[in-house]
This record gives sequence, structure tokens and C-alpha cells, in this order.
Amino acid sequence: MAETVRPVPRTTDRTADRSGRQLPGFLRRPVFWLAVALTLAYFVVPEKGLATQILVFGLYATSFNLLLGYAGLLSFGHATYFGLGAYGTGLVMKWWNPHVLVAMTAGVVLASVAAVIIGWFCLRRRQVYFSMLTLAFTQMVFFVFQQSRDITGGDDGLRNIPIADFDVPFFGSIPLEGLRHPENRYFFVLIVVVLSLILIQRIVDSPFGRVLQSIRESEERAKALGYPTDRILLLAFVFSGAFAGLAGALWALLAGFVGLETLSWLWAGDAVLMTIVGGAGSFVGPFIGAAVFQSLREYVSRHEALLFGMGWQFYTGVIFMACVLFFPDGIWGTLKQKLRRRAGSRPRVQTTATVEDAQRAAPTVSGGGDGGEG
Amino acid sequence: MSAAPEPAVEPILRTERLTRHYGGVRALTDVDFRVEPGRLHAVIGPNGAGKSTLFHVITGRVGPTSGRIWFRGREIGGLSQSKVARLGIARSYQVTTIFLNLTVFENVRIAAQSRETHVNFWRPADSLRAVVARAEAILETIGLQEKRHLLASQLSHGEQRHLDMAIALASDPGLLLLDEPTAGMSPLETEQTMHVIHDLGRRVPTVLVEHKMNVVMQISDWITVLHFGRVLAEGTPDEVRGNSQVQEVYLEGSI
Amino acid sequence: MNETLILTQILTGIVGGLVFALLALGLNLIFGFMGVVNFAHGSFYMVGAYVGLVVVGRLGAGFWPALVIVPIVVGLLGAVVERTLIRPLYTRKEYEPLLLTFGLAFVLIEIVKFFFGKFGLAFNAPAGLNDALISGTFFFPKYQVFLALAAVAIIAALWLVLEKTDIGLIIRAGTQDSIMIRALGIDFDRTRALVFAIGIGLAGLAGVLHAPTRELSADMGLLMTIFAFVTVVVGGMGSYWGAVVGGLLIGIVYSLVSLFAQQFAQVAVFALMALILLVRPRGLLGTA
Repeated sequence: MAETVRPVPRTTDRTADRSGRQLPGFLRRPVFWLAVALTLAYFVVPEKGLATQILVFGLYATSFNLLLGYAGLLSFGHATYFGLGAYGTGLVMKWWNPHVLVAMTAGVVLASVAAVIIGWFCLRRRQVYFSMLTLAFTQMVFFVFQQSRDITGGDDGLRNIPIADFDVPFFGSIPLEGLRHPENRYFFVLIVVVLSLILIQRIVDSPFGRVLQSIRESEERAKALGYPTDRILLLAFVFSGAFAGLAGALWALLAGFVGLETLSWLWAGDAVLMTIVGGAGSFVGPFIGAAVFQSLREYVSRHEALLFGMGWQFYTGVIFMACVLFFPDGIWGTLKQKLRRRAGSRPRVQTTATVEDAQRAAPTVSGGGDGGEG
Repeated sequence: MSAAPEPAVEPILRTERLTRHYGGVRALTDVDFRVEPGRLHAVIGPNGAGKSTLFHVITGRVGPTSGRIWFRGREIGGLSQSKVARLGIARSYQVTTIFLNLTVFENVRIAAQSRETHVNFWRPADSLRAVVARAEAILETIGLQEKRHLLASQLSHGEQRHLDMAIALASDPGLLLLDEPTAGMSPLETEQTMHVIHDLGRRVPTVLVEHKMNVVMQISDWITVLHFGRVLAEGTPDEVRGNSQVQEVYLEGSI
Repeated sequence: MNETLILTQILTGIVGGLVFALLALGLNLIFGFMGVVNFAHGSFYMVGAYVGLVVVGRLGAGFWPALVIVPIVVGLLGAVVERTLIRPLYTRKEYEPLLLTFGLAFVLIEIVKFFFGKFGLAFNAPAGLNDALISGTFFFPKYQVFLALAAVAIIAALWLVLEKTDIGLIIRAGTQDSIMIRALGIDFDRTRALVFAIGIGLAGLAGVLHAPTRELSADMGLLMTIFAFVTVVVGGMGSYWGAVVGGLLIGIVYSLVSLFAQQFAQVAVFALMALILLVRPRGLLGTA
């Protein structure tokens, strides 16, 4: 592909456009195409309830991926933030029944505060120990919630979360009771998810996002450049927790019920599974992973008799192991590489790449690549 | 020790009885070291002499066991790595430490960005024009602008060493520490790198740790010889070359 | 709250703690030598218990033969897993073996659930150890005493192997520098498989030894994995005796807290871990 190298970004572009293409900036961002795909998905997927679930889990996996794909931190405790977002929202709705956005904000705030505290502890270590610590804290929160029956309902979960009308100023109210109907539900969630994705994209493209990636590559060097890496990682951790909390908030509103399992390490493992299978380090990957995961779960649960009575966790576990062994870049990552090699195009940041991957890509290099990608 | 005239100008960096011990290993002992402005300063010595440790202590990667360090008159002993870096000391590494999965351009840009006071998380990184411009300039200086779109992992060994230096340079340092920049390079690459370092030395106070004697003798203005963690000799290249103690230590004898 | 009760709890805590120590030692061995974080460690502990159940219950062999058979069987399983699933991942990103063992943990649980069902099964202590030591109001099951002694014997034996034998020397050296080991011409692949098998076998042995004191369930290994890691964090990464001290400390804390507030015993353990992280991040006996 012929390249025009422009040393300084043109004033009309918000983003450095090195490819010479004429498309305006935002159309080139993967988030745009993902948003389009997710909108169209509604009409493609026969089961609207499943589709909505995929959206919520996609956001959940994306929040996890912010930490894994961009910061290089493997968190086994993301369920804590999802669950806190869900419980926070649910409890506020039950106690005060305010505007839905207020309740959702409460959930996100609760999740974020937890992320600050837990993140501070876990970031005392790195790598494996960091991962195990996130898991241990998840267990702690799980047990605290399990024991606090009076507030949280313990093992029975939080039930009968009311859902008020959504008051839009000057517009009247949108009866969100209708949120229990598949169509309204989907598009409400879609709007929240797309807005979140746009926010996350901005964060990833920002100077902060770039530093995060440099820390992933070499924290030593980033420190030697003067970046306060602990603080930056903590901030990333909080962002990640906030979005997981948002996914949880949506979950509470949709189901009207929050079960204790949303705080469990199994739920936390789901985020890992979905992201790795779908492809870490991209925006699309987590959604693909969520789609595969949720569909598999539905299908296997329904046809258990046919499948030797093995639970769906067996199949997801096996698929997951197969991905780790043979498709470490996940479905989307592997697809992208294959397409790219076909087109003979440039390499881009491969956030789960190994040195061998880069060497394989080398012969077809003709330049081009930005600092982060969707 | 040669009789160096008392410098009239405040040294960029100064250490006093700098000591770093790791348990039983005495990596540095009572090192008095000064970096004067306007001269390219090299640190040499056999393996294990303490050269890299000196860099580690100066940059704050490890703290001194005892002794003091001043940078531009300010004490920096015991400060963290990122603090020292923000004060203006940058280093390159003996074992290439670059951002492998980022592009060459991004490697340098992120280094240039480190000079910004706040890490913004809203605007697109590429819209920081001054940062981008500085990165471009550094790439040109080092000679890597043609490869800017490649991933750092795709560069040759020599190019990666250059990138390692470029990263240090891009952070606009007041003192540049280069740790064996020509390690693993071919004679031709070494020659090219020497010119680059010589140029750099005129613009930024630079301290160079090197093994290759021809490099050191040709481009440095001042040499400090370390041996078992202590300063053995100091002086101009001619003075050091003529020093009998130094000759003994380097058994080859031909420096 | 009389002293006898507290004493009993402390002793129970020591016994439990020794089991955590056994698991932590296996984890340390595998992580130290191969850099692999075995998330499935607790699952192998669980498998050991179930294999013991089969050997004793279904095959009718005695308990004592089971103590020999189980670690061998589980160790062999470990060797197979290392060869087929983990070996391809050594050259990859650091967390990939962890991810793989994470998936493996689930899969093992599901397989066991498939054969044995979800619900708890019982595993009886061998005759002769079924009763308890009684002295006045003091009551302590004999099996727990046996368990403690067995654990101590294993810990001591493992230490002797590591310190005094050639293979132990290789293992300790390999933990420091795998490149040197290869340079010395030692078959690294085989040694690695052996180390993994030993670590796993140890987990399996811990499982079958611990089985008579608890109800077996397919997911009982999950919490054990976490506790094993907490033990390593508390005791100190890479420290042999750190794993033992950490295990004992956690066992006793768990035991004592459950005396006063059963529900918060687990939280107390995690709080202890958080405290260590705050005050002494490298662990009680940790080095780096």
C-alpha cells in the first residue's frame, strides 16, 4: 500500500492520518463500525433477550480488556465491580426509586470506589501476584455480601428491583417498564454501550492511553521516562472498574434481580474467557467473545441431553484452552491477521503479539501503523 | 590521578563517596564522580567494575548504600526513578529496553510526551503537536525516520540500540547516560553510532559507559576508569592511556 | 470461652494450615522452576481426593495403599498435562500458562462433576483412626493427628530431597537459572515434566490425606487454590519455610476466627493477606 508520510497532522484532522485515505477521522475508528454492527445485530439475532445480554457482557468484557489488552494487567476479579454496580443500582432503586440515571450513577460510583481501594492493594504487586490478589479480593467482597443477608439478600440475591419511567427533560417520560420488552431494552442498552465505547476509545487514544500501553510493554522504561506508573495503572484500574460497574448497573435494571453469582470468581472468570476467546487488545474482540460465550451457554443449557450431560462450563473451558494454545490472539485477532496478510498491508500494534508473530508479519511490511487500535 | 584544573563551573552531576553494596558484593565504594558541562565523559572499566551500578544509582533505580549525589546542585540520592527522570536525567540501556509492540514513532513520541506536566486522558495523543514535532526531530537525528511505521520488534539489533538512545534523548534531558550503546553492533554500525554520540555530546551533557576502547578514545573528552567499584584513574584519553595502573588492569595493554 | 476449646481450634488450625502448606509448596516448586502459575492446583488436590475415593471405595483397596497410589496416578496425570498442554506455552507470553491452567481448573471440575455428581460425598477415615483423643473435655480426632504428622513428614522429606539429593540440587539450581541448567547438559524438558509431576502429585496427596476430614465436592479445590496462593503471598514468594509458616498462620487465623464469627473466617484470611501487602509486601520470609 502506498504511503504518504505527513510529518505533522493536518489541522483538519483530529487524529494523525498517515494512510492517505480521505475518510474523515471518526469513520476510521473501529468503534464506529462496531456500533453499526451492534445496531444491525438486533435485526439479525432472533432472540432479542440473548442479544441484549451479549451487549451487556460485551461491555463487561471490554472493561476487563481495558486492563488486559492496553495496560497488560490480568484481573481475575472484575466480577466485583460488575456486582457492585448491579447491587448499588438495585439497592438505590429499591430504597429511593429515583431517576434511573441516578441509580446507575450510584452503582458506577460504588464500583469505582471499590476499584480505587482494591486496585491500590493489588498494584503493590505485578504479574501473577497481581492477578491472584484481584481474585482474593473478589472472594472477600463475595463473602461480605453473602453474609449481609439483611441488606443484600445473601444467597437469594436482590429481588424485585422496581423500574421507574425515564424522565427526559422537555420530552416527557419514556416508560421504562417497557424496558422489560425486548426491543426497548436492546436500544436503551445499545445507547449506553455505544457511549461507553466512545469514551473508552477516547481514553485509549489519549496521552494517558498511550502511556498505559508503554507501561504494558516496559514498565521499567516508562518509569525511567518519569511517568508515575503506579498512579497511571491505578487510574486505568478505576476506569476499568467503572465501566464494569456500568455493565452491572444495566444488568440490574434489565433483570430486576441481582444474584450473588455476579460477585463470584466464576463471573470474574467469564470476563477472562470472553476476552481471550474473542481477542484481547481490540474493541471488537470482547463482543465476539461475549457473543460466542452467551450463545454457547444458551445452546448447551437447552440441549444438555444431547451433549452427554456435560455442563456448558466444560465446553467453554475446552474452547478457552484451545484458544490459548492455538489462537492466542482470539477469534478476532486471528481473523485480522489472516485478512491483513491477504491484503499485504502494514502491521499494527498487536497487543497480544509474540516476537514470532511480529517476525512472521515482517515480510509484508510496507509501513504504517498507529499507536493503538480498535 | 591526573592533576585536573579546578573547574570554574558548577558540575552537572556530582557524587561524593558514593557507595552501593549488595550484601557481600561491593558494587561501588567511595566513588567521587563529577560530570562537567561541555565535555563528553566516558566511564570504562573491566566487567564487574560497577559501571552499570553507577548508572542505576544515579537514575534512582537503586538507592545508594551511603554517599551523596547532586544533580544541578540539587540532592537526588534516594529519590525514585520517576522523580529523577522528571528532574532531567535520562538513560539508555545495555540490554535493549524499548517498547517492542509499539511503532518506532510511538516509542519516541511517548518519550517526548513525558515532558508534559499532566497526562491528559481526553484529547487524542496525536494532537499534541509539539510532542509530535519533537519526536520527528529526534527520529531524524538518530536516523530512523524511514522506519517510523515499523514495530520496534521488527528493527535490526543495531537499529533497536539506536531507538533505545532515541527514547532517552526524546525526553529532553539535562543529562544523558548511555549504557554501552554500541553493544552487539558491527564495526560499521559502531562507527555510525560514534558520530551520532559525538554530535549528541555537543548538545546534551552525556556520560557514556563503553567497552570498546577505540570508541572511547576517539570521541570522549574525559574518562573515568572504574575498577572493583572504585575510581582507579581519571583524565583525558591521553592521560588515561598513559597511566600505568590502567594499563595493568587492562591486560591487553593496547588502549 | 474455655481454654480447651481454644486449644482445639488452634490444633485444628495447625492441621488445616499444614495442608495449605503442602499445596503452597507444590505451587512454589512449579512456579519457581518453570515459571508456571498453576491455577488448577486446587483442582488436582480435588482429583486426588476423588481418586482416593475410587481406590478405597470402589476398588476396595485399603486407605494405606491409596496414599501411595493416588500421588502416583495424579502425578502421572500432571506429567501428561505438562507434556500436552503446557509445554507449547513456554515461549509465549508470561500469563498464557496461567490462563491455560485456569481453563483446565474448570474442565477438571466439570469432568469430576460428570462422573460423581455435584453433591458432597463422604470419605471415611481408615479404621483405627476413626476415634478421637479424649482427655477430660479435650476432644481431638485421631485422624487429624495422623494428618498433621503425615504432612510434617512430607514437608521434611521434600526438604531433604531438595537439599541433599542430586535431583534436588538440579531443581534448586533450575529455579535460579534455567539457562545454566541446560548448559550443563541436563535434560531440561524431562526435569520440567518431573518437577510438575511432583508438584501435582503433592497436591493429589494433600487431597487424599485431607479427604476424610471433609465432605468432597467437585469445586472444593477452588478455594484451596486461592488459599494456597494467599499462603505464598503471606509466607513469602520463593521461600520454602515461608510456605510452611504462611500456611500455619492462615490455618490458625481461619480456625480461631471461625470460633467467634464463622462467617468471617475467610474474610479474615484475606484481610491478613491485605495487611501483609501493606506492611511487608515481600511476605514474612520472602527474599526479593
